[in-house]
Amino acid sequence: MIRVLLWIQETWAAAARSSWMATATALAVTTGLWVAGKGAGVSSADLWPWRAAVQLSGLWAFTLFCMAAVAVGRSQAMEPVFGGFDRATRFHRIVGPAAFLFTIAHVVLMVGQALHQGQTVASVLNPLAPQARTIDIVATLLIGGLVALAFSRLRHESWLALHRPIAVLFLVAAVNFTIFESGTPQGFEPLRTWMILLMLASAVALLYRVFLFKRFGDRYDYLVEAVVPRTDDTLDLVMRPVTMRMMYEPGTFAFIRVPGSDRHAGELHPFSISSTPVDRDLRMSIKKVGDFTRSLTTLRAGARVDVYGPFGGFTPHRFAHYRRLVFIGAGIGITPFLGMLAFEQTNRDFRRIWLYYVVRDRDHAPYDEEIRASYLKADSFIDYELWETASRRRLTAEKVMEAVAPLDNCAVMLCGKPEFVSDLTRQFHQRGVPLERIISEELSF
Amino acid sequence: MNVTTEQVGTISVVRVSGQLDSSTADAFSSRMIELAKAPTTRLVLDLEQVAYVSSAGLRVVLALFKQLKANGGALVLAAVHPRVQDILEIAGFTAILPVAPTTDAAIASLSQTR
Repeated sequence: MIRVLLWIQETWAAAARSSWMATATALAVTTGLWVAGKGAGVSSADLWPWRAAVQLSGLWAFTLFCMAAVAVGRSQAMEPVFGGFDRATRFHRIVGPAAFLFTIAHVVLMVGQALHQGQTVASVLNPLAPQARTIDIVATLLIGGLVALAFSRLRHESWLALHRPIAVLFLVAAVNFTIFESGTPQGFEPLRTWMILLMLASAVALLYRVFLFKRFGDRYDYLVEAVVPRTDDTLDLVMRPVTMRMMYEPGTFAFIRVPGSDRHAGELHPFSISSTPVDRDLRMSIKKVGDFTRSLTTLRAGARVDVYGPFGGFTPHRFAHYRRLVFIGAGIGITPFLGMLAFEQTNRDFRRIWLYYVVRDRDHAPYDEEIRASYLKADSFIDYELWETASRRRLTAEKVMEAVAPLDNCAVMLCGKPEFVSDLTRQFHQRGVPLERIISEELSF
Repeated sequence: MNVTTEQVGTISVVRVSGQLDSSTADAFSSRMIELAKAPTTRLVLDLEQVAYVSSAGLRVVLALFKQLKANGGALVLAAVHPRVQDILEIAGFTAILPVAPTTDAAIASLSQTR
């Protein structure tokens, strides 16, 4: 019984801190206000089986879209709500498609409703049909087309750029049916006000991200000090501040822009910081996976780099109450731990740490030497293990627990590819580690 | 860091004051290695005046414990500062290293081992 109560308490605590609770609340408010509107007699005739489903699917799609937009507004003020920008991005990747699926459901249900009423499909999908909601239909069709395009093989930047028109179309449709079209939102003031608030929040997030972030975001001017190749596909970008240094927590990340780049001057790309905040120079350890990262090898010393940040909640100080930590970094996922390890030499904050660097083999472990040279100098007591999957197969939670057990009062920090992170998260959770003590960062945005 | 050594019968009492971290661990280690060389050395490490021990200090203490044990000797930590006690517990060292509340208690426990 006590175990069940503890489980409920931990689950509730985790949920309460997460953006999912905010999303559930937003959906509940939307639904509640819709029900209240019907109770007040606003367009309450013939609700079942089609109209209620049509209206609710549309309202839920809109609510989820707003939450997804706010999540990736790149506002540092919103980071605590989402537990860091990396988590906000993961949240966006789930909620954004969910909003689109509800949009599809909305359209399908509208078609069903039309057929049920003896009308044609064209009466719902043809924007030029008599009494058609032209703006909503055009916006929805365009959204569908753009999302389909997004699923084709696009450059990362093009894929990102597609999000903007999709967001604008969502807002256009929302403004239209909230303000201009007759129906529950327009007829019931509390729901209309709520939707306008959601719209404003997402519009502000969109505006800030697209137009204002580059100008008004926390930006620091740096110059390239060196580009150090570590392996064929990994490099260190070392930068020196021109004036003011960016202050950051070890384990966080920042966006960089290279204004002098021929092809990528306007692009912002996020990378984990692998230096310690004690150092003057800022170091990012980067895997060459695309055009932009490959172009970094051509940067010369003295080239200007704009650094925006810091972002992210993947830092042990955010979880200061955990004194026993397991760090697991796979491949380039070791990057945030390098900064933490360097910081450990000066922070006079004692913890017990088990650090695993998971690589295919020693040839793919460019930071092994650096770690070995520093972990014994740390204030914290650190055990370090280079885990070579070629000879030892995959690292599992069971293997970690053999070294660390018991895992009581331990927090686990994971960084690597999404599949690696989700697999180990599941394994640790199955072995009794509460989700709130599993802190992860995925390297995929 | 300051280290003083006192002989109480056949037991060596080492009193340490200051901080046992990466800047002092090497010097401390050198002193302790000399003491631990003799066979069957029984040693009390009084940490009342040590408010901070880093991993470097812990590794020296652990190495000392292992060396003494290998030579047939023994080590007891005594009067450990509460902050250092926390560190020992976080590191899981309280399960390995014997800790006595006072130097006298440590001497008494080592006297019984002979």
